[in-house]
Amino acid sequence: MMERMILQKFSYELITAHDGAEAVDKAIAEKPDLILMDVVMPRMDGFEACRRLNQEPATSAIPVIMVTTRGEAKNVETGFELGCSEYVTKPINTLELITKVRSYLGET
Amino acid sequence: MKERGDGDSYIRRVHEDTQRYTHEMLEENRKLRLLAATLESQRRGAAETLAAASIKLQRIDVIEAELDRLRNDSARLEQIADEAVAKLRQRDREADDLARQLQEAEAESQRHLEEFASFEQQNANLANLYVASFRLHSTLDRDEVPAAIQEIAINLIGSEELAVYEGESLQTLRPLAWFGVDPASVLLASPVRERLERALASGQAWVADAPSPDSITACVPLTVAGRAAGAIVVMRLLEQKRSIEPIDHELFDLLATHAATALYCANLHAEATNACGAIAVEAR
Repeated sequence: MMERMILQKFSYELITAHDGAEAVDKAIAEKPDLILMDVVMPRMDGFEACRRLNQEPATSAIPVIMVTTRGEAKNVETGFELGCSEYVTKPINTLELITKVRSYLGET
Repeated sequence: MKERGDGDSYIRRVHEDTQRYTHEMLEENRKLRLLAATLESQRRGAAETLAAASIKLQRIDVIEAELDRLRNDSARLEQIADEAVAKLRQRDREADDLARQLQEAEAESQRHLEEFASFEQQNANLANLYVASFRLHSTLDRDEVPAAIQEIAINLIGSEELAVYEGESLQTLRPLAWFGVDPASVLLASPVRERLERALASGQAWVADAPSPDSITACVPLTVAGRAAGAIVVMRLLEQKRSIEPIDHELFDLLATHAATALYCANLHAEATNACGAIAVEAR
């Protein structure tokens, strides 16, 4: 919710999903430029969603930034193994988030 | 006999004189020839010397001409060298000017970069405050406001341990919502009580100087129209939250007023909805 509001404030066009499964379906259907994914989500967590997106040919090239409350090394490693491109830990540092988003969108 | 003897003697004498004279003449002739030969030799030597001197003089003339040419060349080269030195000094001055201008441009560029970074940070901070404020006021649902406070605490401040209370003083506080902590236990801790009491009395949020793994982070009074209406107690911050930044203080200040107002509005809306419902029932 917060990430969505922050990114909207920076004039990005956003598609939101309420759980991991919906996120995978919407990503396949919409093919976004970048995916921002919470680790903790109902029905399907961020790791599983990331793994599925990575296996899906239509979405495997889309960079995924994982957003997590816990920044432990194990969490980060798992995310990278499953295909995430970048990590952002909470609390959200807006400048860091925007910088990473711009970087993956080729805006810097 | 005597005359003959005298004649012989005379002849002999003349003969002897002639012989001597001849001899002397021959000697003189030999000397003269020798002298002549010497003179001739000297003349030849002088002629050779003269010829050599003449050649040398010619060479000297050539050398002097060459020397004059070289002097001219040297003067021309000196002039060129002077001009080159002058140009070089001019170039040095220009290079110094350019170096100074480059330094100024770099300093200016650095200043602009720093200003840009500062503006970016301010923009990010303002976005955080806007998002927090927007989130708090995006609902009139009384149960949604604490959820918004929780979202702000987790996502923007970095804490999963907080309790929200309603009430005007420490004695009347009652828990409204809580996450990661037991609200009754929080109020039993004397440091919390002291800081909360002070915050409620002053209307000013208390915020720790630095994150501490086992103590309180902030006591934020919720004030509406200058009156205490409740409080938010934020306990431990997330492990990765290393420091409390100025934006955190601003977020706590924002929570103090906007969370209180959002709660107040949600309460009013709930009362109004209930009242409308009651009126509708009575009207039936």
